[in-house]
Amino acid sequence: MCNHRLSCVILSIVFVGIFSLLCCLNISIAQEEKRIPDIFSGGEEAPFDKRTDKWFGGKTPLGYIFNNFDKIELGDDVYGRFTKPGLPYPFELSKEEREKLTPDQVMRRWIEGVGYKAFAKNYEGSIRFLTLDRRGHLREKIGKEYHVSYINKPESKERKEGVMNKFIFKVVAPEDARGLSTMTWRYFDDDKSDDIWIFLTSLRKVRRMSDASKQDSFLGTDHHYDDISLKIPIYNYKFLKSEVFQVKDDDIFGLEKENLKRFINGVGRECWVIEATPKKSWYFAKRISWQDKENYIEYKQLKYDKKGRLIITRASEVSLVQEAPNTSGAKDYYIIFSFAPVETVLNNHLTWGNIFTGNWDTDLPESIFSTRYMLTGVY
Amino acid sequence: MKKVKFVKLRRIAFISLVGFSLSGVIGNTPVQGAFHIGNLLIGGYLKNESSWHLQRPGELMKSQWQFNLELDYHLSDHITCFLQLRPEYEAIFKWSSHGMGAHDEWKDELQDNWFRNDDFNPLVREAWIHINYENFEARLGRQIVVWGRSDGIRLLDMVNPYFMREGVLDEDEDAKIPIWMFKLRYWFTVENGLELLWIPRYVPSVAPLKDSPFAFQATKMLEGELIPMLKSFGIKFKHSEPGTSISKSEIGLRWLGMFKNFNYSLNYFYTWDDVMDMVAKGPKLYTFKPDRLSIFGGSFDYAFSHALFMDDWVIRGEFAYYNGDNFINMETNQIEERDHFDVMWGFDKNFFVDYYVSFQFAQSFLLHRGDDYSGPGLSAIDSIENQYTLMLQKFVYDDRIMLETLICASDEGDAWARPRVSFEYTDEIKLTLGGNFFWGSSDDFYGQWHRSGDQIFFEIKYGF
Repeated sequence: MCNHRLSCVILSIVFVGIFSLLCCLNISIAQEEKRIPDIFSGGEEAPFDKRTDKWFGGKTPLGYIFNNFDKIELGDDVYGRFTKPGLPYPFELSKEEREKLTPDQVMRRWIEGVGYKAFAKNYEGSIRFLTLDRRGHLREKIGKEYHVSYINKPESKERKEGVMNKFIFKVVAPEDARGLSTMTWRYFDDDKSDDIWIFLTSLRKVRRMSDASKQDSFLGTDHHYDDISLKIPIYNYKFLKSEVFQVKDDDIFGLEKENLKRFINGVGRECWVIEATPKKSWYFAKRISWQDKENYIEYKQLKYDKKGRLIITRASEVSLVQEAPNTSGAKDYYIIFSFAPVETVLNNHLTWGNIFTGNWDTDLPESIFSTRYMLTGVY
Repeated sequence: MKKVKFVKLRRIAFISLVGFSLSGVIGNTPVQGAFHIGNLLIGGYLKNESSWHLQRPGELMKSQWQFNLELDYHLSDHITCFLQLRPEYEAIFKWSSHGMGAHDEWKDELQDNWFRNDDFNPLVREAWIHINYENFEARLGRQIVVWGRSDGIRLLDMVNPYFMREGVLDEDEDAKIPIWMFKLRYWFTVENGLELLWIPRYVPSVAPLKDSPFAFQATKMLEGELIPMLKSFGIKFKHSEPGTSISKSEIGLRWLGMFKNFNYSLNYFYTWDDVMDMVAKGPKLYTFKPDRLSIFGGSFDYAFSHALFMDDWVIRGEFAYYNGDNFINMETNQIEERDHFDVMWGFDKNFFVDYYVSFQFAQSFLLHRGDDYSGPGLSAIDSIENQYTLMLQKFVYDDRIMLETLICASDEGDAWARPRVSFEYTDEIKLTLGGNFFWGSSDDFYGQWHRSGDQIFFEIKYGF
C-alpha cells in the first residue's frame, strides 16, 4: 500500500514537473511568430506604479512600448511597415464630386473600401492583437482573416443575391481558442443582419450565431464589432469641418510627440472631421473621426460617453500612398499597414493591432467561404 | 425469444446532457498551428480536474491529470495525418472496470494501465488520415463525428458512444469514445454535400457501475438486485457483440445543405443501440446484446434579423424518428419494440449587449404506447417527455473571465444546475471553478444524483 501511495505521489510530482517545465518554456504560439519581449524585465523600470495606482510619467503601457521602441527588438515582421503595390482603389470620383458627398457616403466608401476590401478580388492576412491592461498583463491573440468582396463584381451570383462581403476569421493563438473560426456574410440591405457561423472546436460543429452585438468588444480587445462590421444606419453622421490632420501634443496613447508622428498615419492629409451619433442607446454617445478627403481612410477616432468624457481613442492601421501613374496611365497605390493602437482611456486598457501578413488578389477559392471549409479546414 | 425484465437505459439517448457546453473557445481544440516542425504541427494541453463532494466536505470525487498531445502532419496539399494521444492519471476512481465503479479514498490499485489503454478511454484517442481531392474527402481511422444541432441533447448525434464515468458531467470531448470508421464526403456544390459513414465494429457506451456516485438507478437495481438474484439460481451471463462482418456494421448517411441561408441536414443512421439489452438465451444463460436501430431525421438552423418583435436571433431545430427501439414494459416485464419521435427547438440570442442566452426545448413522443415503460431513473416514461435547457453566459474583465450557468430540467420537476467561472490567468493558463447541483426524486433522471452527485469542482489547464 505504501509503495502504491508513494508511486502516486511520484507520478503527481512528475506531472507537476512537466507542468512547471512547460510554463517555464512558455511555448505558446507558432514558432514562426516572434513574441514581443518582456519589456518589464531586463532592468527596465515597470511602468505601472502600484503605490499611486498610476502609470509612471502619466504614460500608458502602450505609449511606454512605443516610446521605448528602439530598445525593443521586435523583428522586421512586426516592426517594419510593408507595402503592397498595384492595388486598384475606387477613386472614381473627381475632387469636385467628392466634395459633394454626404458624410454617410464618405463613411460607406471607407468601410467598403478598406473594411470590406472592395478594391480587390480577395484578401488573406494575419493579424496580431496585443492587449495590455492596467496591471501590466500583456496578452496576445493571433488570427488569420480571409475576405472576398462582391461590391465591385456586379455580375457575380452573390452580388445579385445581395451579398456585399464574406469574411472568415480563424484563431491561431492562444491555445484555448485555437481552431475557433467565424464566418460572416454581410449584405447590401441595411435592414438585413449579418449571417454569422461559428465553428466550435470543443463541439466539433458549425453553429449559427445571432448577429453579434456590435457594441461588444472584439476578442477582448479594445476594438468593437461596430469598428469592424459597421452598419451605416446605426449612426447619424454630420460634417463638423475640414482640416489638415495633425498629431497633437495631448493626443492619444501616451506617446511622445516624435513617436506619435511615427506611428499615427495620415499626418498632413486633408481630412473631413465627421461626427457620428448613435440612433439608439449605445456604448458611446458621440464619435469623432478624421477621414481622408481623397481616399476616405480614417486616421483617428475618438469616442465620448454621455458625460462628454473621452472613453476610446483609436488610430488606423492602414493608409494609402499614391504612386506615379503606371504604363496604362492609371495611378498605382500602395496600401500601408502599420500598428493600430487603440486605448480604452477609462480603464487604461490598450490594444495594439498589427497586420503582419497581407496578400491581395490571391488564388484563394471562393469555396473557402462556406460551412464546408469550417467543418473540414480544407477546400 | 424470451425477454426478461431489464430496466434499460434507453432514455439516456434522449435526456442525457453529456458534455453540454457552448463555450467552444474554452474547450479542447484540434491542432491548428502550435509548434511547427516542418509540416508537423504539435499542440495540446496539460490539465488537472478535481471535484469535492458537497455533502461530505473534504472528500474528493475526482482528481484527474490529463495530458493531451495532438500531432498534425501535412503530408501534401491533399493528405493530412492526425494523431491524438491522451494519457491520464486518476487518483480517485478505481482503475478496475474502466474506472466506472466505486471511488477510493486514494488510489491503491496503481496498475500498469494507468494510461487507460482500452476501447473506452484509449491512449490513442484519434488516429486518422484525411484525403481531399477537389470535391471529394475521405477520413479513415479512429475519429469522432458529430451530428445534429442540439447542445447536449442527443437526437441525431448517435455516431460515437459515450464514456459516462461521471454521468452527464463530462464535456463531449472527454465523454465521446472515438471509434474506427470510414467517413466519405462528396460536395456537389460549395454548400451541398453527401456524407457516408461506415463503422465496421460496434463499441457500446459505458455507464457507471452500481457503486459509483454517478450510477443510474436502473444500474443499481440491475447490478444490485436482479443479477445477483439470477446468479443465485445458477444463471450465467455473457456479452454478445455483433461482430465485424459487413452485415453487422453500422452505416450513416447525411445530406448537408444550404438553401437561401437556411442550413439543414437530412440524416439516416442504421446502427446498433449503444446500450445493450439483457436477453435470455435459454434457461441458464442470459446475454447482453445490442438492438438494431434505424434512425431517420434532420436538423436546421436559421438566423432572423427581425422576427417576433426581436432583432437578431437564431432558431435551431432537430428531429429524429427511432424505428424499433426497445423499452421495458413495466406491466409485463418484457422488452418491447416501440418507435419514438424526438424533436428539439433551440433559441439563441444576445441580450443587453453581451449576455448570451441559449434555450432548448425537447420533446420525445413514444408512439403506439399502451402500458407503462420505465426509464433510467426507474420512473415510468410518459407518452410525451419534455426537457428544457437554459444557458446564460457572459464574459467580463476584458473577456478573461467567463461566467456561465447551465440549467437542465424535465417536466418531472428534477433539474441539474452547473454554475461556473473560468479565468484566463495568462494566454496559456486557465482556471475554472464551479459546481454541479441536482434536484428531484431519486426515480427521476437528474434527481437520481441528488446529494450523491452534488459537488464543487476546480480545473487548471495549461495549453501549448
